[in-house]
Amino acid sequence: MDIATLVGLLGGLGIIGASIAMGGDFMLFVNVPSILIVFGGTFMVTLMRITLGDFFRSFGVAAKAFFNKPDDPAKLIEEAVRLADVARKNGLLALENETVENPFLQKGITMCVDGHDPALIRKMLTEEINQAITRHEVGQDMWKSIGDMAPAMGMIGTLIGLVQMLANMSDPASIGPAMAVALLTTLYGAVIANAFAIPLADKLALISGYEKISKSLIIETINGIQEGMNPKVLETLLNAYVPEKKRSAGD
Amino acid sequence: METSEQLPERRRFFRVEDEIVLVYRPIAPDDMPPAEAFQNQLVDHFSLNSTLAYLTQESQAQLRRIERENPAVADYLKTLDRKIEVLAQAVMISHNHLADQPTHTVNLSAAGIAFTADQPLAEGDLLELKMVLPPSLVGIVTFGRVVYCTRQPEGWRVGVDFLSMREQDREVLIRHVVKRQLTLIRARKHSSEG
Repeated sequence: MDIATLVGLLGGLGIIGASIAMGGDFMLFVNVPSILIVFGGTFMVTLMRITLGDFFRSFGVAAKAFFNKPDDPAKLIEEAVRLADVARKNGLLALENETVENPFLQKGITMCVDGHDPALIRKMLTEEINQAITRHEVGQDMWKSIGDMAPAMGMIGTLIGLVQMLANMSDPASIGPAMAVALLTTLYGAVIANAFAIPLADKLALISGYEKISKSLIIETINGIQEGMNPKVLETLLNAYVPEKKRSAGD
Repeated sequence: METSEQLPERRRFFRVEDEIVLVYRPIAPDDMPPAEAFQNQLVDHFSLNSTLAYLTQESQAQLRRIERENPAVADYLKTLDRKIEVLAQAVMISHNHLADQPTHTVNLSAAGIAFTADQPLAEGDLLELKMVLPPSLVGIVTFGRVVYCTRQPEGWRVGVDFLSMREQDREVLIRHVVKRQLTLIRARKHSSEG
């Protein structure tokens, strides 16, 4: 569970809600036609940009922002060093009896024990990374698209409201409330974009970057194990992938 | 120099069957070089390849970094590395008359070797062993003690524990054994599939 995403989302919306509540009647900010224009319009326009399958898959990708538990590179490197040591001392087949938590690393170790060619393993695992990145990018693009579209739909809603208001100028008392309702769609659009969609897209990009690093580490680990690489050399090699602050203690 | 107390630790290295060039000769205890002198010996024609292989491994991290930042430069460096390797192999073949040397089927690990000899050797005998590992033609010089010698139909089965080996040679040997095991696993897999 990624607490930061949940805290950020609830905190952001909570602060906006609290400031509205402090200013007066909360229900003043609830308007069904405006909600329909902004929420419905944003989703529909976004749907034009991508396929229906990608649209629904993007909600699954978004869940990663809340439920993702990123791999600790230092722990991965520690495990890689341990496995490299086992392979050198007890042989590649001894890796079969080792407990490996990370499923991607486990997959690589299984391929290694099965005697697959190092180049083939690298190719297959790299392909898997690329496919995952592509899936993530589709999800990120959809949420970025929502971030672009929501303010635009808000603006369209405001323009509709203004047109309706200007068409009915006979009652000066109704101008103020009508103007307020017209501006609600701009508010909805800005909130959807800036308090939800854009931060979500950025978070997904960050998670995708971390995942790419950890999976690249694993590919390098499998390659090093098959080469019989010295664990210390492997550790140095893997640490090159990791920002200095997150490196394993040995480096 | 390693002592017999280190044997349990060294025995933990796994063994593989291999076909290598092996030249050995019994030596007197006085002919055994002191460990320090052996570790620091100058590179000669025979150990050139193993020194280069060791240096290649040592520079893997830098090469990977270059590869990520500039793949074209990394490819060129790999080509240069391969050129040096080919030169070293040529030197190895011409200076050590490898073409004339017979290959032996051995049981090899980073801690010792077992092979079939024409003549019996006494348990405790000291040997100087020269090994050339295929396919990279890495040459390793080491010293060992005979731990057993048993009569077999095809000759004498001799088991030797390595006593003295340069650290970089041991490193190259470990890597060779792991790669050899990978080759054997793949060969077994292909034969079972075939």
